[in-house]
Amino acid sequence: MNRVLRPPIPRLRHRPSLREDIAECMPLLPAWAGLDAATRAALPTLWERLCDEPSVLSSVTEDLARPVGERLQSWGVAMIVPAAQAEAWGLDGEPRPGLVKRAYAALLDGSWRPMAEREIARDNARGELRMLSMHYDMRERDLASPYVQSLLVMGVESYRAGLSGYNLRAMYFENHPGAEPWMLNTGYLRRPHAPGAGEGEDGWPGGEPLLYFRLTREESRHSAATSTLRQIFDHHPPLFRLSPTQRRLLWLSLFDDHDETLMPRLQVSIHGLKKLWRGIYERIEDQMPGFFGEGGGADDGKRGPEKRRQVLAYVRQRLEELRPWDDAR
Amino acid sequence: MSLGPARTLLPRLRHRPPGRDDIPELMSLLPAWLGLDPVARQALPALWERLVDEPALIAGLTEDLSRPAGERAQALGVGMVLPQALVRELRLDAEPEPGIARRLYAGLLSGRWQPLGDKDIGRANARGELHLLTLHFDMRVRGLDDPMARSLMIMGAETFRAGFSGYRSQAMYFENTVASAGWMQMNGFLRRPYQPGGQQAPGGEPLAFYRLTRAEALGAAPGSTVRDIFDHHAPLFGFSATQRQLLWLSLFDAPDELLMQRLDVSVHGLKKLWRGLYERIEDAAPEFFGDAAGDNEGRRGPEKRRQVLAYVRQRPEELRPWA
Repeated sequence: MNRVLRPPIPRLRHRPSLREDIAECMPLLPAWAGLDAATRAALPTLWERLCDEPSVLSSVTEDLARPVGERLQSWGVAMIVPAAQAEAWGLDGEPRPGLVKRAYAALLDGSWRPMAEREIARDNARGELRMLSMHYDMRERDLASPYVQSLLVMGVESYRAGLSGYNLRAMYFENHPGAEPWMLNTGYLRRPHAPGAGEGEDGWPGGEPLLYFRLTREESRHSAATSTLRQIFDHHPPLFRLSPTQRRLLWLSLFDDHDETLMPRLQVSIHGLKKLWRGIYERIEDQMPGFFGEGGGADDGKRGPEKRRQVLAYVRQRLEELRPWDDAR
Repeated sequence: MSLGPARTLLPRLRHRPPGRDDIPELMSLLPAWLGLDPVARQALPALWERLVDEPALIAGLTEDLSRPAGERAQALGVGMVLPQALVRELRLDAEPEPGIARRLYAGLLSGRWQPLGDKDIGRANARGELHLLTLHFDMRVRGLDDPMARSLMIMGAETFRAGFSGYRSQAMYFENTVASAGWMQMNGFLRRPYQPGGQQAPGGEPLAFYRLTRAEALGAAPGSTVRDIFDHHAPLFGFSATQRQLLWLSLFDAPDELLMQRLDVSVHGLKKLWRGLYERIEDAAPEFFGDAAGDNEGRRGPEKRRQVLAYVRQRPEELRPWA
């Protein structure tokens, strides 16, 4: 008897991208970025370096219903930009088109060095962080397709998770015109490019016209509290002041990385990992003595998984605890 | 959870489903615009005792952990899955009269309306005929210039997304104050007219009625809260009602003691529920646990639990009734 084969139910989920994803991510670099062949060829090596940079926020949406190697369905990348770079590119004014192309060129030739943890922490505490969304693209782009719409919905979730908890001064995004309704729905405001955009030296890098969007913290405060960007701009200072490795462990754990995956990413042994968790619990107990409830201080080992769940449930809703922060005078 | 003395000024907002212990504190978060009379208000705690475990009730509480116990509840949102007959009676797909939540509470208190059971919700959900009504959302701080109020509204949107996502709804309804119109429309709701010449708003404050259907939502660009809630895929695992409730409460870090109490099971019953859940998943998706699959000696339990929770957090359709 012939069985009718039904298409598998999509099983979309988002998570931070890994080194192992780089090859599968490369086809998700949008054509409108206008990257030449040499740049594209150099990007996998660049991404090997960028993967663990604290200023790089990169996430993928995968469909677990598809075979391994064909699962990545969308990729989004944002970077924290130093004030000098934002000024050089005119991000707070009217920039020339081709921000992604220029950003990758600067990263490749070394003229743009990704911000270090301490620099991010200092700017974050001052409310001076600037976030440039470099690109977001999907394997399928037909906006009438329910699958693509689900990818976009997951893209918003991923964006909120990746960018929330920072004390941002402004967010920037250059994108193609087809994305405009999505951009406006998420709360961005459209801004002009520099006069003459699309002509001569300032031609559209991929041949397709581009649009430029920006939203500042001040502007977000005057907008309705429900847009994705308004939610991202909402910020409270962290309480626990966790170390970079502790924060990284928590961030990766939010997406359920196994201990076996966490150890190489954090470059620690299984004992080192346990020590990191203990350090997190101690830090939290110092700052919030009642956090783990009655008997929270008992360290007999059996409470470890429960404590981990409690911590993850808390930081999932208080993402500022996972971001660098240094308000030392 | 109590706080150390030094840092009490930083708000520590988080949302979770309310439990029975929260009921006295929640009563102060019933908005005045509902127009509930003193008799109804007095009867509500007992009604809530019954409702709190009903699968048709979708409630979210935002608490500020930096405040002393008993003063933590800062916002409350309450929704319900409604039967088709009630939608017709309240004229929610047409032009209703103001005071929907008040009439619903009155019907529940008199026993004339019963909340839908798990099976009924499952059937309506699988048919895409679910009707979701938000009865009310209110905050302790309401001045929109207050950063705390804005943070509460943002957490309110999170709560809304968490509570309503994963259902295959036909329509969502919301009655709110006219003053909230901007917030409602930014969320993606469309304002609809009341019945001409209908009765006045029960609490004296002007009200507005909002509705969004699945067809309208899916015809709009993704990005707004309500539009994205309508995005839906069928569940894969087919969990039992108790398994779903266990997962839902666990998403908000309910400790085992609370889970046992809410689910009315012993510690052994709880372990059995988790084991049944893992087996169900392995049946439907044999590769789900990777190398941990089949390892049933107990020590991998916490890891499996984390994997399951991380998955269903992003795939909330697994937590909703489906028949």
